[in-house]
Amino acid sequence: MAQVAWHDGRVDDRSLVDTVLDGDRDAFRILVEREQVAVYRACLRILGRPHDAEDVAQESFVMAYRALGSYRGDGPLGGWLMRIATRHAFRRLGQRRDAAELNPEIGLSAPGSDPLTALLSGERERAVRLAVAGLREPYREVVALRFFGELSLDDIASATGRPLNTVKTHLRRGLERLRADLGREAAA
Amino acid sequence: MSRSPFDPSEVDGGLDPRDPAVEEMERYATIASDQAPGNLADRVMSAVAAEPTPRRGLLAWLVTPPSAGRPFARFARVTALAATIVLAVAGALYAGELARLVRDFGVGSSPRPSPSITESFEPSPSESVSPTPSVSPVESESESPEQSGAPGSSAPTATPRQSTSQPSPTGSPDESKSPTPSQTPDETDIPSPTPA
Repeated sequence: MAQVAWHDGRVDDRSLVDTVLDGDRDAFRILVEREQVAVYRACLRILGRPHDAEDVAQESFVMAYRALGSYRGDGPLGGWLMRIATRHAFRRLGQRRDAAELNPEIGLSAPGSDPLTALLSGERERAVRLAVAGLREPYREVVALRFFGELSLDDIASATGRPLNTVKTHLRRGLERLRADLGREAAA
Repeated sequence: MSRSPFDPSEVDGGLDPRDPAVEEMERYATIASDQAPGNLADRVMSAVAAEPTPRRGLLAWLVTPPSAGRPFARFARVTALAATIVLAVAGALYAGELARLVRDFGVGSSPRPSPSITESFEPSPSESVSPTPSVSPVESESESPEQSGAPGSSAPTATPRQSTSQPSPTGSPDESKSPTPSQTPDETDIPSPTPA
C-alpha cells in the first residue's frame, strides 16, 4: 500500500486518489476535511437550509467515494467533487420543489435580526436560488460552480472538460439570463 | 484549487461591475458562507466505512451503486450497456452480410447482377461438366480426327466427321467454314459461363 505523507498538507490529488483506490480509507478523510467547508457552503447556497445542505454534502462525499475510480486526474479533485455536489444539490432542490414547502426559508444572512428583516432577506435569497436553479444547462452549472462553489474559471473548465472560452461564454450568458430573471422577479 | 471573488472582466467580453445580476450573486455568495458542521467528516467516514473499496476506470462506472435519489440509475446504466452491445453485434452481422453479398456479386463474370444471371448461375456446376469433355475431343480433332473418334463420345465425333468429309451446303455456315474449335465456344456460351 502506498504511503502518503498526510502531515505536510501538500498531497497531490492523484496520489490521494490512488491511495484510496489501493484500499486506504483513511486517505479519503484527508479529502473530506480539506473540502468539506467548500462543499457544504455550496450546498447551503443552493438549498438554503442547513440541514438539507449537510445531508447533501455527506451524500456527495459518499457518491464521490464510490466514483473515485473514474476520476481522471485532469483537473483539481476539489472541482470534480464540487461538480458532484452541485449537481446533487440541484437534484435535491428539484425534488423539494416538487413537494409542498411547508416551512418558509429563513434568511441565511440574518440569523439574529428581527422577524421582518429575516423574512425579507429570506425572500430575496430564495429568489436568487430559484433564479439560478431555473437556468438551463450548461449555464446553471457554470454559474453555480463559479458563485456557489467559488471555483475559478480554469478549475471549472478542467472539471467540466470544456474549453476556457466556452466556460466564459456560458458564464456571461448565464448572468445575462439571471439578470432578466431577477429583474422580472423584482418587478413582480 | 483557487477560490476568489468574481471579477466581471473574467467573462467573455467583460461585464459591467454594477451589473445587477453580478451584484446580487456576489452579495448572496458573501452572506451565505457558513462553516461546515463539526461532525460532517465523521459522518462521511462512517458512511464510507460501509462501502466497498472503489474500483478503477470503466469497472468503476459499471459497478458504482446508484445514489439514493436515483433508484433507476443502475437500470439505465445496464440498459445503455446492453443496447450498445446489441447494436454492436447487429452492426457486425449486418456488415458481414453486406460483405458476403459483395463477395458473391464480385465473383460473377457479368458485372450486372440480374436475376436471369443468377438463375443461369445455379445449374452451372452440373452443366459445366458436359462442356468439359467436349473440349478434349475438339483439341484431339485438330490434331488427328481419326484418333479422336475412338475415345470420344458419339455426339462430338459425329460433328467433325460431317464437317471434314462432307462440306454440305445445308449445314450452317459456321460448321462448314470453320473447323470444330469454333463450335466449342458456342456450346459453352449457351448454358453458362465456364466456372472457375
